[in-house]
Amino acid sequence: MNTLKLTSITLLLPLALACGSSPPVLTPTTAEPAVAVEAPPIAPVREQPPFSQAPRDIHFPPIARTTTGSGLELNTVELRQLPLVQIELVIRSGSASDPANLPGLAQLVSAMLKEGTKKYDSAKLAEAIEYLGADLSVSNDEENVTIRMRALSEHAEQALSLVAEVAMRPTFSDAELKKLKKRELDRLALAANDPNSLVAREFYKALYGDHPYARIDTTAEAVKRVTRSDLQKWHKANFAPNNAFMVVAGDISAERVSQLAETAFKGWASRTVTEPTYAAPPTRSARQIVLVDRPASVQSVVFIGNLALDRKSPDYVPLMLANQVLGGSAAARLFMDLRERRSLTYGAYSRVYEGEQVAPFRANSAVRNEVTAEVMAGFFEHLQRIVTEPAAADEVEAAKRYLVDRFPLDIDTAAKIAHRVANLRIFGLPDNYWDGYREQIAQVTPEAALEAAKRYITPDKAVIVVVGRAADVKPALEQYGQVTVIDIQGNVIPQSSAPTEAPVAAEPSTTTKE
Amino acid sequence: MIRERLENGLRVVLSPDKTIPTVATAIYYDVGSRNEVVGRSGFAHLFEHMMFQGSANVPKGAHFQLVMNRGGSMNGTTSEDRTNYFQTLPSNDLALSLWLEADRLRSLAITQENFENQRQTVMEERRQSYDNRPYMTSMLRINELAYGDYFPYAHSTIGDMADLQNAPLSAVQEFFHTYYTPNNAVLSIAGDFEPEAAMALVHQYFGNLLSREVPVFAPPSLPPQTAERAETIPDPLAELPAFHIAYHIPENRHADHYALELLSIVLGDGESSRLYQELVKKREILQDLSVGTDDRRGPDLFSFWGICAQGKQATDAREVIYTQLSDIAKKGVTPRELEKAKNRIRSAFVFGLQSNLSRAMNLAEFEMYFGDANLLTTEAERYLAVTLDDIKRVASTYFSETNRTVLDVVPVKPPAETTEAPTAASGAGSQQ
Repeated sequence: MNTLKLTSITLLLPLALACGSSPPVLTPTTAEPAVAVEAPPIAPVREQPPFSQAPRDIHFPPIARTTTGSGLELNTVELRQLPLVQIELVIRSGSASDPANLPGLAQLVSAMLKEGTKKYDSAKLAEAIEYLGADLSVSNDEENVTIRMRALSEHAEQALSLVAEVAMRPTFSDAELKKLKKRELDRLALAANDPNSLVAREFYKALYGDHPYARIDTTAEAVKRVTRSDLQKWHKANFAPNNAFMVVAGDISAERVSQLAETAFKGWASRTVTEPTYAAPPTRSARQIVLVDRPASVQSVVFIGNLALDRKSPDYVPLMLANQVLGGSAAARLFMDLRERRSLTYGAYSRVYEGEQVAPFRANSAVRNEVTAEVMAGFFEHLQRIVTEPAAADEVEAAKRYLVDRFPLDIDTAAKIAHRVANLRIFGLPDNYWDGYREQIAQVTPEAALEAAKRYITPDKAVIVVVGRAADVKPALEQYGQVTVIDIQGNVIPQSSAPTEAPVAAEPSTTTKE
Repeated sequence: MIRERLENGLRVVLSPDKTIPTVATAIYYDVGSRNEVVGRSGFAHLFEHMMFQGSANVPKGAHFQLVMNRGGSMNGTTSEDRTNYFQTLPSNDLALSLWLEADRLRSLAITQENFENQRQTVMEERRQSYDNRPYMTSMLRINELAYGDYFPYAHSTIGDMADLQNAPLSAVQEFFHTYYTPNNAVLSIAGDFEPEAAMALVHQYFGNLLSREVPVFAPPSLPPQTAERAETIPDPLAELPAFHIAYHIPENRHADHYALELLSIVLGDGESSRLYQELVKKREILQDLSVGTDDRRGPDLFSFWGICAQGKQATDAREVIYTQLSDIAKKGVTPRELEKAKNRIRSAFVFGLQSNLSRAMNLAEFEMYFGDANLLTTEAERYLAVTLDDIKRVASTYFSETNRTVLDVVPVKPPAETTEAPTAASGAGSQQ
């Protein structure tokens, strides 16, 4: 449920956590601070912050892998500190397998899994889960549907049987589908006026063109058209033990997981699953600028990016390091400059997505309408710099420590560990990957980071999407190329032929046209 | 758990746990937006931003860099009731955390330049979190309406744009001097550390800070509500009608508060809850719903928030809610419903223990609000002790029409673009 309750407001928006990494070798502290009296506001000579002590070594916990009689791969990570279990059942098909006329089918299947099974109707299923004090959610992306459940370990047996019930025996009842359709249409209507949903929708649409990754949500047309039999067919075609794996992390042994899963997933039949085929995403020779006109906006929400690489690429780690210098945290260039120095925004960041196939690089911010031009210039200045100059040695060291030293924070809950195990399987990485990963980061040179940035960050061929008040911000964007203005539904708004403003010496590179 | 108090009044709570080599520190200051005065709304939070602008030994920007570039995460938050600052670091960097907190408490760098920078940042935060998002300004309006003349909770923590714009630099220094003293703070540390070594660091960094007298928070009394309050506001960003309902209830940890929280779980927590089943699933009046207590230190609210399904009326949803409440006042909830609510509380406690940071934060809050972090360890029992009769009793006590505030949010389309200056685009069209 979507809770809008406010308890407090924060200095920074929580960041998506980066992956991370091995203890650095550092000398124990010798720092001796503490001043006896209150010091003046700015001391002429600064005391050095305490050094780091020798770190405690930490490794990713071992993963025990077994397979059920029906062919489902089980991955167990035993964590005995608290009486809980975290379960992820991952089905290796997602929205990339949607038929062309039903975008969002995988998503609707996912949503319907909780709306009734052979054993429980929708209300009874929710009650059975919540009575345990547990949570069960179903989500999907382009390549996977994931059923997640968190429960006390005393309820491990019920939890696994509920996950199996939801995966194997959904009824897709017509009555529930009818209700879900209404809720989905309302949800889509709300998303169509939410600046964050809009900017993401248009960004992926522009980046991926005819590739199925272009669509990150279903459409009203698809929701109206979908039938129970469409859902059943997709479920039958893709939900099979040979097209899935499960991760269980928590207060439970691998033997116990095997034993419980053997019963819970009994009778789940393997079948041949067809891999979806589709064209490669478009290659781009110029910038593309989309302005979503939302006349009541008091801010411009800005995404700038391009298709970069897949998670398995050997360039992923050097690119992530370059990104860390550019905008990976509140300690990086974009935040320090656009927020802390130029006072343009509450936050400015950049990110490289993890994907089985080519995934985006993206920089983003939200700024008041009147400084849209300034923030665009700022972004391009930083994007240009990250692809032309090697980062300073201390910036690279700082980025490495950020990525490497946060490893204990990245694996401090069963949920984070389960998620990392799932990512190993999804991206086809070896079991010892997370320990070696820290070493990989430590090996990246400033030159290698620059090479990766040059290759995978392409400001001259960027997709720029802005959600804002077109009347105020269109001229600010025209400096970077031809602007397509659309309404919140995605329809192009024809622009009068009168030029709004001649392109003024565009910072920093050539102005391109579609 | 270890509790200590330094000579300068700083309260310290330690909760060692070596499971994961991280350590979380949280420092809570007993000042929030409830301490603000008329004309200075948003100041406690604006001040919180200033705490990241550097101090005697920390240049501007270095706080973020030192923590993050040693693999840590950090943030600060402001609520009505308190301001907190926290970081989680690998456990070999506990000293850094404490040094940073002590340095800014001792010697904050307050400059006009930094202040203008953070004033703009906070105004941008307000636009991003409220003014540019559907329904969010109504989240502020419901408190103004329900609390009326009770300024501490009636005004927003984010503040009015005009007050943010007008805040002078002198107020920053004054606020710092008034509230940021060791005797007005609780420091808690949770995770992988040796208590003696940690206390030695605390003494080293904080021991010689001086205490100062802090004004006692003396709120006005909450004027009793004698009639239902109702208002309708237009929202040019909204697509579907929505509404709030708020009832006055006693402060957090009042004996009745536990029963009220369990009642809120029965009514609105999860898809099996009564109102989700009734309003979203069965009658299809609402697209989304949330129910909960707001958990304030002072006079609290029991709140409902719903977004209507297309073509449905908020009044129909409210009728169902009112009927459910009076039904529970008469007949109570079922034993199974209460048991489910308690199971959810119990498992939430276990899930919450996973994070060193959430432990540090809960301990600091209990030490500050209720005088003893140890009370947290018996908190689960207080929920589990709630009976069916308690639920029935609170349902019949707090949900009267005269104790109620209702806010309707109505979508309006922004005026069409013309060459003329736009006419009044928004503004609260209030009834009654």
